[in-house]
Amino acid sequence: MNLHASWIASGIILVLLAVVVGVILNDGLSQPSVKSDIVTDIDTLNNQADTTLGEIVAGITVAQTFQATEPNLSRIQVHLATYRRQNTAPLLLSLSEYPSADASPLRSVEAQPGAIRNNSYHAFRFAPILDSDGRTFVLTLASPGADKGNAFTAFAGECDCYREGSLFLQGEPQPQLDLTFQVGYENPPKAGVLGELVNRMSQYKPWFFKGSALLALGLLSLAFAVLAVGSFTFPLLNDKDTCVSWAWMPLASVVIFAFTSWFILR
Amino acid sequence: MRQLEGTETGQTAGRVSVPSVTETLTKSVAFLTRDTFLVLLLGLTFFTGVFWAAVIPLWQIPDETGHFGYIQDLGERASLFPPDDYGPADVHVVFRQTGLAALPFHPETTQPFQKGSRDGPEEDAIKELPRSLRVERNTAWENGARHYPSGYYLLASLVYRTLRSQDIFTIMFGLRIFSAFLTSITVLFTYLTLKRFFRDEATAKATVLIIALSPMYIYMGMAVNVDVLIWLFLSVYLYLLTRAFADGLSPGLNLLIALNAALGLWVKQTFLIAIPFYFILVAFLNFRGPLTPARSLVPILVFFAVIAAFDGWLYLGDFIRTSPEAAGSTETQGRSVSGFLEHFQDYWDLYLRGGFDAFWGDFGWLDTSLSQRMYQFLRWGCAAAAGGLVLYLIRSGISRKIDGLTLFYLSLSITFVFSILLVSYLRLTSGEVWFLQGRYFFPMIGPIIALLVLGVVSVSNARLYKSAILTALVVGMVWFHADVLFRYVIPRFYA
Repeated sequence: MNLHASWIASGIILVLLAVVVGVILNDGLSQPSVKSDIVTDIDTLNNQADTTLGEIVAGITVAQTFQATEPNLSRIQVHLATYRRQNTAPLLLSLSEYPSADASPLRSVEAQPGAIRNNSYHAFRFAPILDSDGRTFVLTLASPGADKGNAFTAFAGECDCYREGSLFLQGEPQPQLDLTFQVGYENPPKAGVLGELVNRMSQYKPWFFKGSALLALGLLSLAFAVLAVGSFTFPLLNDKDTCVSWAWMPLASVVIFAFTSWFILR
Repeated sequence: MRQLEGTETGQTAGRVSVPSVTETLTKSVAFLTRDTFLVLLLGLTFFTGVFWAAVIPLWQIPDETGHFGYIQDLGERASLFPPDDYGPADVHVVFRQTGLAALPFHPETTQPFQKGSRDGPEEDAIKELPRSLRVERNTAWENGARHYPSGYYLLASLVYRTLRSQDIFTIMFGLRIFSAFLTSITVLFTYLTLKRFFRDEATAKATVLIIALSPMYIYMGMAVNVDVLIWLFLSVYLYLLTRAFADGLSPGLNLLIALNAALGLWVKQTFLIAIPFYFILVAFLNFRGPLTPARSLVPILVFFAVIAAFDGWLYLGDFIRTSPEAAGSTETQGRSVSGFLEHFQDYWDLYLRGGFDAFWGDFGWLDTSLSQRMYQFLRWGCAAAAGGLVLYLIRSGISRKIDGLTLFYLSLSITFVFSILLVSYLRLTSGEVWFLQGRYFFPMIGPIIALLVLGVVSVSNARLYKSAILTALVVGMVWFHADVLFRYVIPRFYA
């Protein structure tokens, strides 16, 4: 292979590489769940998990009231347990305004049994309630298809851990119990998805890993990867053992990558 | 730098010359021009490591809290070992106050974030925590790292002492940068070793790039963890063994090997593997002729004398744990050779997931695994490469052109893997549930990946095949790295 052909081949490989990395980055960030997670603020209303509330079988309901503090309520995360077994009945969460005479809930979400992990928060996602700010809601957990030995349970704190709400078991208030749960509000950040991601990645980090330093490090790492791969592929594709200046090609691909990323993510 | 001219240049010895700055610079530039790849490799490993260090939140790498606690102990007090079994209160408080303590083993959980800000909700409060917490030990949290020798921790405590006046984030992430630096040197020695193993620049470069681009290797390579120094010492050790294999075991080289082993044993008990490795080297050198059994005696005595002088009191005294059995175990199940073989039947799935899969990628506190499709691809790919290696060995055996260095590396790799499996068996039969992780094989990642690459490239002698397969492997690793980072790791911690 002559020198020019190997330049071109190396260049194509490196530019492709840079574009592939850009596409993976874009694809990773544009997945609906990732995007929604980044723009969602999670508010932990009770993190205390001292006890479980028993098996949520047919006929049993666990309800917790809470006050929304922001608009666009779009998620409720409940600390659940499986009793370390494979349950087969789905778990239903319904959300209504509290108090309300209207029997039909505002939102209903079904959690598939395979998606619920033992001793973990499970996210019930739903379409945002635009005017949720300041309103009081009640979330209700039920599992009409579950029976003893095939049901999930939820954790609760043995205290009045969340003073703005109450837990009800079978409609009976439990003043010394509160469900272990979080709520999420989907409010698009001012900085955009990538900007908010960088903000999140900067938190609890030293000054030299915050903000633009992070982006610079990422680009530097990519530049070295492309340069090292370039340094490896060029002699491989070139029969002649000639020392040539090849550095402009990987550098060009880094510039292309940076431009592509900026164009896609701006 | 002052040097004596004439000893190597043939000029009259004894005249002292001082090279000028220009001369030194010219030589450095000449070196860089000659091996640009080496410099790029160092840059790639270091900056990728630092980038990963910036991406992964505080203490979200297995056992990082324990290792940091040990370093903090030595950094705050002038001692050789931690004063007692408990971790400092500082780690305990910060881990909980940031909300990061809720993350391990819960992949659906992230730390609480503050919207529109680059500071965490409790960041200012944590920075204002009293310094007295760094020496308080009123927690019930036992530090599992206390059983290790203090070699790594003493070195890391120097970094700690340098950054001591800073907040805990600066100290912790500064230590991660130090680890990334150590891993860069490890990769450099791995490259030098691979060049001798393959005797072919392109294959050595491709193999070291595969290692340097392995996301799990880089992830563990920037961790505050004793293993990073073990990797470094073992990479130097393998380089020296490879030199001894090729050039013979001179007294000077033997002393270097012994010193390296002695220092490695001051880092972690894993380095006991250096002893069987040394015997394998001596056996090969005996087999190949340059070292007769009678002439082996002195080097072996020197080797053990150096180790005894440096490490005897450490290993024979009651300073560190030397038993491979689970801590506090009193009863052990019956052990036998057949029992060892049979235990693979019961634990095969765990060996596959905890050992092989986690070698390629299982992040966080081993709670962020990759897709099953990805693992299947890696399993089949490695099985094919191992098959290629077996074919290569059979072909070489038939044609009587078997490469001694390949057999040597194979012997070292088998010994290492077998030792890990044996320790795993001993621990399982002493009551431990499961402990083995893929990262425990990283000290031998160089020979393991080298043998797999050899298996792939040896399928055909055609130059085009080799160029294409090496390029595909390297480009594939870049893709794999980016995919793991952007599709698994960043969403796990920040979405």
